[in-house]
Amino acid sequence: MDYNSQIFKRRYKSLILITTIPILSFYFIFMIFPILESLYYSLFDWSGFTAEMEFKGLGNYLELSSDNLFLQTVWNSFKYVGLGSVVILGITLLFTYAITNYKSRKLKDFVQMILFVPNTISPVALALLWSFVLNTRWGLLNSILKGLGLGFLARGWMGEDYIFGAALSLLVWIHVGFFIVIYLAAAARIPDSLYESAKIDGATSWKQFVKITIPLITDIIETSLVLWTIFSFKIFGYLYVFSTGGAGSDAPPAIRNISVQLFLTSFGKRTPINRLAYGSAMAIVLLIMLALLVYIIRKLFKAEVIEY
Amino acid sequence: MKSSKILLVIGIMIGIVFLGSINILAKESFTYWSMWEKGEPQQQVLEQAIKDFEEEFGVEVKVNWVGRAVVTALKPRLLAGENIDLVDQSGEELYGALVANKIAGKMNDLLEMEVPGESKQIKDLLIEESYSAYVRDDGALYIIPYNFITSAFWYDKNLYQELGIEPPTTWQEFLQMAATLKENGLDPVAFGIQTEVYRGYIPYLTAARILGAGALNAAARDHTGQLFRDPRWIEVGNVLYTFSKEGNNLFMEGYGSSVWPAPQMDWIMGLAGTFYCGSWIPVETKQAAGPDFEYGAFIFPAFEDGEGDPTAVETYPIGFSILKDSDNSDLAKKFVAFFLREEYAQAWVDDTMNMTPRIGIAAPADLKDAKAALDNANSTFRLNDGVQADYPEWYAKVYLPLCSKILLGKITGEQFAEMLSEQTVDYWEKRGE
Repeated sequence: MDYNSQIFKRRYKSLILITTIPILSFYFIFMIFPILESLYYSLFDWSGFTAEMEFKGLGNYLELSSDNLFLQTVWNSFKYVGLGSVVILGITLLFTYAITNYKSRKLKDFVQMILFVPNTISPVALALLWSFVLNTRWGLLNSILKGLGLGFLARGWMGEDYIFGAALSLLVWIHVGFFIVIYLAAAARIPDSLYESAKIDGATSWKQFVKITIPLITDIIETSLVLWTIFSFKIFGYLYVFSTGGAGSDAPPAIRNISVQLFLTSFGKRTPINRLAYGSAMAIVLLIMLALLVYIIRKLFKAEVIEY
Repeated sequence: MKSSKILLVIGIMIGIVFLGSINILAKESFTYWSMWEKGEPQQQVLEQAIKDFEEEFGVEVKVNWVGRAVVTALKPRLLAGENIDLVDQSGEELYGALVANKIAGKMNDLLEMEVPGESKQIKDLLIEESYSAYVRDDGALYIIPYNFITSAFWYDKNLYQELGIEPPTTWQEFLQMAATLKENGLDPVAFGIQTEVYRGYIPYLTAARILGAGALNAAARDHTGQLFRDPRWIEVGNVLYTFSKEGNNLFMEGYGSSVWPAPQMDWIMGLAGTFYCGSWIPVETKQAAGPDFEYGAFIFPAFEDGEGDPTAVETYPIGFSILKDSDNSDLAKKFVAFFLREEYAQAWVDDTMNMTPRIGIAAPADLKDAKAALDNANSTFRLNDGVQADYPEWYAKVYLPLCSKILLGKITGEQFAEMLSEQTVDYWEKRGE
């Protein structure tokens, strides 16, 4: 076959068009169009129950800029990104170091499996379980602390002073296993020859990890940070259920991220706010913030890529 | 000859199919979206009634057991132009979503309807207090209740008898009761501030007793904030401060971080003397309570010089609403009336352990005191004085955070009243209203 012939090139282009158009159409209909629709709705006053809408221009955005509850959820989202990144990155790297140094394959698999288990359980069940663990009077954590003679460390973990940390600890517990699996897969592709050379030069396992493994999985670290940033802003189920008191409550403002606030504003729950257009404005702000953060992370890591 | 027979058979078959189709097409139906989920006792009582209704009237009920998020689920379907005739939920959620958005139909004519098979009008069969708080200023009613819920302080009668405590009726008696409970090593009130429904109860009830029902609702919609400048709001704040750990410390230990179901479990396990909650609490705690636990209930105490009706109780009905643009509202209304039949009201009490708003049907034994309180009440008020449904954002952004602060003892009664006033003005300004 002559790959340079005009006929082949024409047919190749047609094939690309035929295979790409359905996917692009799908993407436009289910991704781009809803975003444009949200942007449109965000310019109105609208409950979403009827077709009646009242145009208010940028009124919703102006209201958002002075809405203390919304601003608190923006701040919470950034705290989840910042604090969560540090804690998750730290724990994930430590586990990656430990697991890569296990001699037994079975032990490696077992530890990975244990760490990954939370990802396979329903968010509602996990969030409720965690809130029971942190219960002040009969929770497991305070009981253990008291049992170890560390009762002075026992706290009301679900109170307003600690509840953000409690929610963050839930998210960290769940996501660490997910990131460890990714990091281990990335570490496994590094050629053994690099480690062998380092060993000959007398490098310790920790030094090998710092000087070889981490630099060579930088692209994966970047990806995980991007993913965590997106999770932090978008995560919903865990925060929606955590500490909500069954049907009797909405998630407390201290742990809400933008997604939870957006839902409660748009659809109400127990408190029937039902401002779908105002919620749409929150969705647009969320989209812009996420796009900016992802751009910044990618810029920061651009110079760090090492090829081998 | 043979072919003519075949044609005859085919003709008969087509005729049967055609007539059958007409019958199917002709069958009347309406759509009902329910707050109950399959398997719940409430769903089972309703399902039986639907089955009986279909058989008796030849009407098909297209029912969707959605669960508690029924109103949320309704939104996209209504926008898509789907016809939904009948919905059930709590009065607060129906009014907050459907009535506030003008998509609920008036139900006043239903009060004049007769329950099928019984020669009495619905208005003569229902306890008026079960819905009267939901009648709007123009006389419009948008809910017909079938489940009556109220709230009260719950306690173990046997424990109180053992400790020689009489259920209090006044604030002074309440403080005395709390002192006796403390002397006996019990926290007076089981409470968890993180659960919004618990957090809202005591502040609004205090206001209802001191200023009267409707005062909180009126103050919430006062854009000038002047109504919260009434000195009696400081009195309300002072009572709330008394409850807090910085005041008389009437709540259970760790209430600032106690999350459902911990408060009710602490109460049922005998760590606290009372628990303020809705009349669903015996059902939720029955298994853990054990056979020696006897449920008693008393209403929120009255205050000296308080302007509110000291007998008034909360009404929090669950009932039916029919959508304004319903295509089959007559059929839906017929079903609502049908479900208020005595046999279903009795099944509601027996199978779900809830109260019915129908006159003449006794409450379950555990709810006897709550029912007596309703029977003795001269008036009723809505949960949270209606502010959660009528001004939901104000409730979420102004009221609840300040309730947290005062109940944790972080602000004084005076600051509470001052901040309510200032933040209400600020809230309405930001809304541009």
